[in-house]
Formats: sequence, C-alpha cells, structure tokens
Amino acid sequence: MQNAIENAKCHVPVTLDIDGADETLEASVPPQTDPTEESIDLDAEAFVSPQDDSSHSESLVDKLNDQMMESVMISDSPNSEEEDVVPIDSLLEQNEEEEPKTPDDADTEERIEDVRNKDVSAAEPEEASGALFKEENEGEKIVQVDDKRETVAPDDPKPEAPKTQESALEMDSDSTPKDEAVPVCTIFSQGVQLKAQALIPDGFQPTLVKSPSFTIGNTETPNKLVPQVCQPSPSLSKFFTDSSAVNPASDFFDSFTTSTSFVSISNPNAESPKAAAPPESPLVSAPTAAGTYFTPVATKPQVAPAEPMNKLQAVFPSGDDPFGSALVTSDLDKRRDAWLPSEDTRRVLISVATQQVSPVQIDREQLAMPGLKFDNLQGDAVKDLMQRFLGDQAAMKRQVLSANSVEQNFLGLKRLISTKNWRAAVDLTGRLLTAHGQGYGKSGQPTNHTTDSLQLWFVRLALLVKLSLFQNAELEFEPFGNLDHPDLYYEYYPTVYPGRRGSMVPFSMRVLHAELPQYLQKPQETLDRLHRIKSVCQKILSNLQEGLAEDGSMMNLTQDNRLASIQLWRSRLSRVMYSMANCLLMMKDYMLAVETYHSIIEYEPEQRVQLLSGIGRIFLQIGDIRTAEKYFQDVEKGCQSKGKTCLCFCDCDVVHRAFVYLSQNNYADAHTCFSSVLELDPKNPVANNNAAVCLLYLGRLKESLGQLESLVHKDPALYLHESVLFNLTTMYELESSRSTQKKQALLEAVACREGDSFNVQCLKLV
Amino acid sequence: MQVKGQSSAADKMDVSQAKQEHLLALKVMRLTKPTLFTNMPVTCEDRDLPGDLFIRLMKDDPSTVKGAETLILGEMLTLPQNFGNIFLGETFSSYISVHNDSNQVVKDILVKADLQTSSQRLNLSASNSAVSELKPECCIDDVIHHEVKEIGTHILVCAVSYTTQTGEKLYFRKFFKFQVLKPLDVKTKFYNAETDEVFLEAQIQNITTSPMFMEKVSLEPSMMYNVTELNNVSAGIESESTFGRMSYLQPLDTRQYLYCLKPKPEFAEKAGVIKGVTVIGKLDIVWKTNLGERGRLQTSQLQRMAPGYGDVRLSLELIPDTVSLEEPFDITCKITNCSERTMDLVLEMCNTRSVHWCGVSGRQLGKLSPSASLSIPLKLLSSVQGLQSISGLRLTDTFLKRTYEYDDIAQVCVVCPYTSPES
Repeated sequence: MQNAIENAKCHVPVTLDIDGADETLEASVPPQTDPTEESIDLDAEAFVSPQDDSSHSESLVDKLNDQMMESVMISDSPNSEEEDVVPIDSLLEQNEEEEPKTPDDADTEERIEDVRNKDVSAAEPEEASGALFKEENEGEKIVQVDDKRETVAPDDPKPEAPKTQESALEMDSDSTPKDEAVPVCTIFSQGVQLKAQALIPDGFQPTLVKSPSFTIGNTETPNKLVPQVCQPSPSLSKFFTDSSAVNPASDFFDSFTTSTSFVSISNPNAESPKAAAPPESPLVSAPTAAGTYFTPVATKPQVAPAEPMNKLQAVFPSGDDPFGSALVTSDLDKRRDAWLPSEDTRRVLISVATQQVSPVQIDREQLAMPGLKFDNLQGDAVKDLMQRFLGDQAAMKRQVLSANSVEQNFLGLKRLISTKNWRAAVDLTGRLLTAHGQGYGKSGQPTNHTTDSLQLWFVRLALLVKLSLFQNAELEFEPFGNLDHPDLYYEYYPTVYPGRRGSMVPFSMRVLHAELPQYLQKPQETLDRLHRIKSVCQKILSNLQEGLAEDGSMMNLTQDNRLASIQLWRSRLSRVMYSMANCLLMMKDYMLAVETYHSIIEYEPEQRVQLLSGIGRIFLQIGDIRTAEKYFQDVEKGCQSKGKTCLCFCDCDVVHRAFVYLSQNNYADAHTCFSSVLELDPKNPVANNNAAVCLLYLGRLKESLGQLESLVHKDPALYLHESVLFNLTTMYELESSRSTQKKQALLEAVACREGDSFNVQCLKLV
Repeated sequence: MQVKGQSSAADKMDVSQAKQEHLLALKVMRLTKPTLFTNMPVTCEDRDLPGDLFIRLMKDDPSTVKGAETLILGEMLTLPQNFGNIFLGETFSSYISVHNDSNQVVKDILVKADLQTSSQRLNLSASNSAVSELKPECCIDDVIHHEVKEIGTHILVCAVSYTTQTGEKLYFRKFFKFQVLKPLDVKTKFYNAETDEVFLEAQIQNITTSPMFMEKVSLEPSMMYNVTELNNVSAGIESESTFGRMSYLQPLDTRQYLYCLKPKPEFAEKAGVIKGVTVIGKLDIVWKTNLGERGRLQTSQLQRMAPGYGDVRLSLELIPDTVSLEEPFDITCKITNCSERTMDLVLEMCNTRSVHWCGVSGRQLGKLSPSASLSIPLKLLSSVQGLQSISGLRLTDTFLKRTYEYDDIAQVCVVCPYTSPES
C-alpha cells in the first residue's frame, strides 16, 4: 500500500504533463526560433552542490523506488524483460526537479527559481509544437520539456490522481478476488481536455484583423436617422436619384443602370453563356417573359385563394410598363434563385406581394442589415516579412496588385482574385460595399439588397474564409442571420425586380455560411446548417420530380428546363453532402464521414474513383490498413472495368500501394512507388513531394532536400505551395543551423510569384 | 530547486562560450508518421460573381484531389508538425543529423545516441564506428528506432565527439527529454460460472487524444486454461465483430471484450478444485493510429482468486430445468471435500415452503478424504408453481461437529401438467 501511494505521487507529474501538452497544442503557433532560448543543464557534475543532499535526499530514494516499481507493475511492452533497475545519478536529480516543490522549503532563493522556471516556459514553448527538438545551444544541457508545464499548471488535480493510483496498484501487486473490477492500469484521471482542439486543419491559427475603431460589444449600431438611400421600397426612379445623390461613389457601383445591363454587365457570370436563356434583348423576350412570369403568380398556392386576381396583377408592372417588359426573368435565374423560405418569411413576402404591407412597415428586426465590421487594409504579410528579414530595399521590389491598382469594379475584383491577391480583394469588396451603403458601421441600418450587393458579400466572406480569417467572417455574417430575412428575397422588391422570385443569396453563400462554424470549433452548428440546406435541396428535388416548379408551385416547366433544374439541384445536394462529409471528417467521426462520402458516389458517379480512394485514405488515417486496402482494390477494379482510359487512373493503384507501404513502415518501397509514378508523370507534385518525404524517413535528408529544392526553383507554380514549403523549411531546420538564410531565399521566391494571400506561416520564419 | 537554478545559470554561461566553439551542429527531429494535407474548399457556382475563378484556383492547387476538389483529404504528405505525444508500446523514431557548419574538414566524428529511461540506458545508434571525415556543409544522418517499454521520463542523450583540423579533440552532448504516457486504460472483471468456466470481461479505454484502430486484442491464457473469444457473432462463414464495422476507438471511448476460459481437463481433474489465486493469462493489444503508427502492449498477468467453496463444496451435476407440479424429480449432487482433512459426513434434507425432499434425512455418507468427491442422487418435489429455488440441504461433519448449509443451490421451473396441454 505504501508503495502504491508513493507511486501515485510519482505519477502526478505525468497527469500534469497531459494538461501541459494539450495546452500547448491549443496555443497559437509559437515562435519557432527564439534566439534567447533557455535550456537547463541536467549534467551530473552541475548537481554536485552542497545543497543537494540536504532535505531532498530522502524523498529522492523514495522516488527512485517508485520508478523501479513502476517499470515492473504497469503493463509493459511484450518484449521488455523486467530488468534490474539501474539508477543513474543524473536521473535522480532530474526526478527531483520534476517533483512539485515541497511547501516547507520556502526560502526566497527557491521562489526566484520558480520565477525563472516560468520564464523558461514563457520563452520557449517549442518543445510540444516543433517536431524538431529545439536545441540550438552547444554544450551539455537539456531542454526541459515538462518542468515548465508543471509550473504552467499550478492548480493540479493531485488529490484525485493518487486515489486512482492506489486502486490500480493494489490490484497489480496482489489482486483481491472479491473486487469486482480489476483496474489493471489506471494511471490518469482523464480530464475533459482531451476533446477540444480537433478542428484546426493545419495547425495554423488565424488572427483576428479588425478595425481599430471596432469594438466587439457594439455590434448593433443604433440607427437614429434613416438615410434616404435606405428607404426600403423606393419607386424605381426615386431609387436611382437617391442612390446617385447620396453615393458619390456610385459611379463604380452601378447596379441599376438598366435591368438588363445590370445582369449582363456588372456580373458577367450571371449572364448565361451557353445555357438556353432567352435572348437579352427586351423586345424579343418581352412576351415570353410576361407569359412565363404571370402563370406562376396566378396559380401560386402560397397566395391565399381569396386574393383577387386584379390585386395580384397590380403588384407587378403590367406588360405595357416599359420597365416591366424590359425585365427578363430567365429560366436560368429562376432555377438558380429558387429557395424555400421559412413560414414566417413566406408570409411576409406574400403580404408584400399582395400589397397588404408596404415594406416600410415591416419590423426592422426581420431585416438583414449588414455592414462592414472592419475597414482597415489587409496589408501584405509577405512584404512585412521581407521588410523584417531582407530590409526595406528588398521589400520595395515586391510588386503586388492592391485594391487601388485595379479597376474599381467587378473586373478589378476578379483580377485580384485570380492573381491570388485576396487581401486586396477583400479591401476592394469593402469599398464597393461602402459605396452601396453597407460600409463600416452601417450594420443595423436599413438597406436595400441587390443581386450584386449579395454577390459582393459572398465574395468578401468567401475570401475571408480562404484567408482563414474566420472570426472576421463570422462577425460580418452575423447580421445576415440564417439568410432567411424577407429582404433577402426578390419578392420583397416588386418594383426593383418585378416578377423575379427566389433568393438573392447565392447558394454558395449558404454553403459558406454553413461551413464557417466548423472552423471556429463549432462543427455541430455546421452540421445543423448543412442539414437545413440539404432538406431544402431534397424538397426542391422532390417538387421537381412531382412535376411542380422548384418552390412547389403548379408551374409548367418544359422538359429541358426540368431536367436542367434537377441536374442543378442534384449537384447542389452533392455539394452539401461533401461539406457534411468534410465536416464529419474534421470532427473525426470517421464512420459517418465514410458513409456520407459513399452516398456522394450516387450523385457524382464520375468521382467514384477519387471518392473510394479518399475513403481508403481515411482508413489509413485511422490505422485500419486492411479496410483501406479493400477500398484501394475496389478502385482498381473500377479502373480496370473502365479499360484504363485515363493516365491518372493508371497510376492511382501505384499511389495506393505506396500509401500501404508507408503505413507498413516500408518507406523504401513507398519511395520506389512514388518514383515510378514520376516516370510516367514527372511533374506530378504529389508524387514528387511524397517521394521526398519518404527519403527523409530513410535517413537521406540531403537527397530529399535536394529534390524538393530543385522542384521549388524549377517549377514554382506547382511547388510554392504551403504543404511543400512547410516540408522544405522543416528539413532546412533539421539540416543546418543556417536554416533562416535558406528560408529567406524561399521568401524571395515567394515574393516574386505569390499574391498577398500567401500563408507566410509555412515558411516558419517567425 | 536550487540545484536547478544554479545549473541553469551556469548553463547560460556555457552557451555563450560554446556558441563559437563547435564546428558541428546536432539536430534531432522526432519522426512520427507524416500526415495527409487537408485543404479548405471554398466553391462557387459559375454564375456567381467569381465565376470559375474559385474552382480554377482549386484545380491549380497541387494539394487538391484532381476531379474531386471538394474532398478535403488530399494525398500530399506533410512532415510532422510537432513532437506530439508518445505512448507506451509505440516506437520512438528520431532523425539525428550532425551537420558541419564550419568551412573546414572535421575528422573522426563519433555520434552516439543513448536513451536513458528511469531504469536503464540503451544505445540506439545504428553504428558505433567513427566517421573518418566530414566536409563542410555535409552531414551524418541516422534514424533511430526504439520501442518504448517504460512510462515516464525518457532522455535522449546525443553525444558527438570529433577532431578539428588542428588536431583538437572536441566533444559535446545534448539531452532531449520527453514523457512517455499511457495509451490505454484496462479494467478486468471475472465471473465464475457454476461449472469451472471463468468469464473475463476486459474494458479497454483509449486515453490518448487520437482515434485508435484496435488491430488485435487477444487473451493469451496461462497453461491451465483454454480460451474462447466471445467478440464475434458468427453469421455463416463470415464472422462479424460485436463492435460493428468500424474497429476504432475514439478518444476516451471504452470497449468491452469478453473471453471464456475453461480449465484444461488435466488441471481440473488433478486439483479437484482450483484453489486460491490462479494466473489466468494476459491481454495482448495491438493498435494502430495515423498512417499505421503501431503500438503494442501486454497487460501484466491477470490473476483471479478462485471462488472459495469452504470446506465442503456441493455442486449439481444433473438437474432438470422444468418439472411438473407435485411430481418427484431427480437431481444429482456432487460433494467435494475441499479441506485438508478427512471428513465424515451426514446429509440432512429440510423441506421448505415449496420444496419437499423424498427419502431419508440424516443418512451417513461415510468418510470423504481430502479432494475426494462423491455423487448422490436425490429425489424431491415441489408443491408450488413457478421458478423455485432448491434449498435445505445440510451437511454435518461428525468429526468436528460442524454443519454446512446449502440453500439456493439451483432453480427449477415448476409447471402444472394438467392445464398446459389444453391451453
């Protein structure tokens, strides 16, 4: 029993260690190279000091005994023989250090040491975060992996730990038969801390970028005066004058020049390039437009049957209205914009459509009133790094597009996106939205939404997510609620969008909105939202299959139209399923993730190979190699039946074999496989990178490094990728003490090619 | 604590001096398995503002799966990003690189890697021979592996000795400390069957932070027992695991395994009864985690205290499960002398509310030597329907005048024979 207690004591640091490890995992990316790094000597000579054998010596012996016991008692590895314990001096001392300080030694010197320990812990959090042992200093010293953790976690759960211990060891030494449960090894009292940190995809922590004038608590800006622009339902002519009068910048935000040009010019993608949309010319399309458009309204089931027809017609501009005839609601738009609002929203929309309620009267609570939450420029992290490491002069050479250097419209925005200057693109969306009256601080003020404003929001939020600025995206998404406010539907603006129906919010924005919470450790919220979208998709599909229109109205769709719509909504459904599966995978709910990926095959049969292979990789990740192989075989069978038409299918089984070798610790054969892929496809970035990784595990650092380095310099377009650069910088760190210079060379390579959205953290310079 | 403070102060001085001195640099990196890169798909439809820009960017991204860019799990391997945790039974692998940072050739380099545990010191270097020379910018590489067999603090001690061009012999050491944690929590429970079978229930809990694939969990019985695993439901040829298709354990999940142990006949016969503490065997557990990172553990020998039967054990060899009301039926009792002395036994049968014994009570059974047993057929009937407990047997050892009571020996179902056929 005595032994058991001692042993328990001895294990306390272990428990603490777990805490510590988790803390560091959750912490933000630590500085990788700290020049003032401290290490603590554990060299034996250093400990031969007069104080050494004073008060601690007795407990020391105890602890040594504990160690001996522990090695015997606890279940051990099958091959380990139970040898005699060989106590070694250095270990003795080291154990002593680990022991949390005894309360009776309260002299000042000791307190100073404590402080120092804390300093150490603050100064070098590398141990847990860098795979590379950080040990820059020469000489004999040790990097304290755990001492600092003890100091970091002062409120340790010591009282509990010994108890579990006791029972464990009691059983081990001489198990009492009447005990029901025999805890063979109960070492830790496991806390809750094991769960959390799962969802950061790459270990990089986003930083919140916010306006200096921005405070979190003050999200709802009280709205005292309703500016003229924001009158909810102006007449068309009024709207134009207002917007031009109030927005001096409206010259570059010209949503409403004419309805047709609004569709075709300002958002070129909204125009249907290939599909069977009616011609844009108002003269030709007017009659068909009117025809298709009036039928649904008249027969719309949502509209209470008591509603007199003339009233309905009055809502919408009649055929002779010049504006109305000019407006074309193409089938494409209808298909794309279809959405099923919630019951409340639908009621509001109906009452607006039947002119029971003027939009002015609608409670502001029910409206989406977005505004920028931060308006500072996003900057360019690459340039900042260059300034820091290469000097101002080098930084001056860095040429990237900024929000100022492009056209202040959608074309400029697209240019910024395609050149990977997403930060500048975020800036530009901010400007364009400000011009639209949804700028900084406008959140909470009534506003008019247009197709373009919502597209701008979508682009802005999508880019924020791409930049891993999740908190910012969440803040700016917040005023949109569930994307179901009545003013986010075309029906809310009968004068501006006469006859147009459905959601202004692009479908992709709904998916983005659903995906966002998982990056903020709220995966359940993501799943909830995705399921909501999924059920709408399914409802729309079933409407279509029953011969109704997307929204369930009795509208005659042409066969082509219906098929096209079914195809669109099936692809949307599969997109949502992908999001779900991805989210489940990040939650490590592998079972459901695999099931969901499986069910996507039905919707995307052409992605069968990739999906099965992906499921195989999930099993490899879990460690279930047998099942993984089964999936890989399925893929091969599928390929063979297809007659190996495509090169990429040919080498997929080689890649699969490589992965299986890898999980059998057979890096040599894995390397051979990846290399053989390269013979067929020398530019294959995955095979190149993976072959280099295998080389490292084979102890061939220089070769591995050489391979990756030459790739990066030969074909920067493919290899200036964060995963490759991360591998490369890790190897630099392993190779020499001069890794910083080599990383700076990489920075220069990045600077000439990459836009401002480059994730500089993979260079590990800071 | 003071000791430590002093040493750290001394250490700082060492650093400043040592910085210029050494021509070689030693770097160590733990080689956990690489991970698969996951990307973050953000998509839009072709009629949205960005058009095909987003999808084009994703297609150009080398880390995405071509043809299925929305699948987040790619094929790109990334090197381990942190030291991570190491658990008992796993293999600790490390890359040790000694690099010549100087611009001169260094000679007779000897790199030694030892692992110091709480109980022993192991040499992990692949070779112990010196490298004759190392040119500038060249390095000596070694990958070490060690299966971790102890919990607690481990120190990797790397020692480098070399000779400079001037013939100066230099030497330095570096220590890398890490903690080995426990991956599993194993709890066991024994159930003794009325026969000599023993059922072992083992709860295995994953106390790591990552999912674990349980590749093998088996009970290696001691020489006295045969074992049957009860963790599969056989349906035809394919037997299905009781845990379903996914054989992995999420963090903090517990799984319950069941085994049936039967004493080998030679042991069961020889001993008569298995007495006291017996060794049942040990559990052998093999698991895998990320990309096949393997771990293996065995529990210590599981011990079980055989149920105490007192001096005399009375067990049933034969008993019907269902009997008719008020109709006599036969049972066979086995009486075993578990004590160290010879007994002279008298059997008494006492009726209870429902059970009525037939035959003579108080009959002499004669002498029974230690470990010997005898079988006695008995007749009884029940006057009450339903599930009835058989109670009321008394054995008295006339030598010591000690009486042993046997109640609730077994249960029988008593039915009424007249009503059942009609209904």
